[in-house]
Amino acid sequence: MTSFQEFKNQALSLINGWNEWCWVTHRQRVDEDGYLVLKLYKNKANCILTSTTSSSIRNDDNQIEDNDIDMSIVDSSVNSNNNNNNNSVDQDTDIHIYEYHVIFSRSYQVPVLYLNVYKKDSTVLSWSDIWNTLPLSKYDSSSHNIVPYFSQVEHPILGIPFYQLHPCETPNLMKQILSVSKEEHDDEDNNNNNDTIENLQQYFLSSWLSIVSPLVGINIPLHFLKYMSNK
Amino acid sequence: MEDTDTTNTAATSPSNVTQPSSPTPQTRSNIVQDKLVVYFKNAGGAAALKQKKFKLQSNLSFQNVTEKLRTQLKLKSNESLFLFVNQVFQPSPDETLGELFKCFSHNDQLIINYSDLPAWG
Repeated sequence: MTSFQEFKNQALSLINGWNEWCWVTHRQRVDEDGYLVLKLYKNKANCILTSTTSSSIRNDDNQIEDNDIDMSIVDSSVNSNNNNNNNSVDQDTDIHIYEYHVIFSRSYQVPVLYLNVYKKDSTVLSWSDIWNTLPLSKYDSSSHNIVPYFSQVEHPILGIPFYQLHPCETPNLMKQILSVSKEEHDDEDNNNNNDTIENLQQYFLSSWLSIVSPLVGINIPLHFLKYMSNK
Repeated sequence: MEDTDTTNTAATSPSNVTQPSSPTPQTRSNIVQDKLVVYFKNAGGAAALKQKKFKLQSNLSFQNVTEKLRTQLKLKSNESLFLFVNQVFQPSPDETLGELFKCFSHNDQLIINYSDLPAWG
């Protein structure tokens, strides 16, 4: 990725195809900045209950308010161990809010994934609690010697602690993926493929996200991949 | 890749006439027993397979397909493998092969690029 503007263009395009994401900016900042946010609500069984459905560009200081979420959807699905059938919101103490941010790193010139997990009362989960819920933790135990790592850093825009997926290998990774077309060209089976390396750059963000998503508990929807492929 | 019924059942067919009820052989040939052709193409430093095309069941999850390829490539559990459709997109592991085929197949085969993508930061 060559610039923040390119990141922003691809991000807005992503939102069109996958509208659970949202673009957030903050008025206080002097230079133009902005990032992608996705919030997922998960129960103890790690099932995604609902997510924010806003597809608008927000210029507020805050991100999406939790009040926007229809908690009645959440109540009906989270009642496994509860004998009393009241529909009060007390049952949602087991619900965790996964907040994913994708922020452009000007140093690495790549998108970077940030993550925090909150309980309903807005307290942040400890790393060991989060880690066990991420599919990535299973990679660790099967002795993958090469595993993407998280560390807690200061969120570049909000200034609060957030967990960050290390970006240092992302440029290398994406270079390899987006250079696939070179071999595709030479293949006689692929007569219809007119993609050049330059054209594939427009898929940087979505391609990267499709690789990172399964590791951190984001379910990449097929309709989104279809949407990107038809561009 | 849908199973189309090519028989001509008129709305007012008389009850004493028996209409053929099964589709003609031509329409079923591509989807015999719901198997689809997948063409694995190596990318980057990944090893090439001797046999690249496989007939796989459409109800397999993408996770299953990844595991099958790992077996074919004889990879150790600590060696990484990434699979892509349309060259650059990794589908969700829960996605079914049938759905992916519907979206991304060309000329009745689904091309899946695979790569070992060595390093992560």
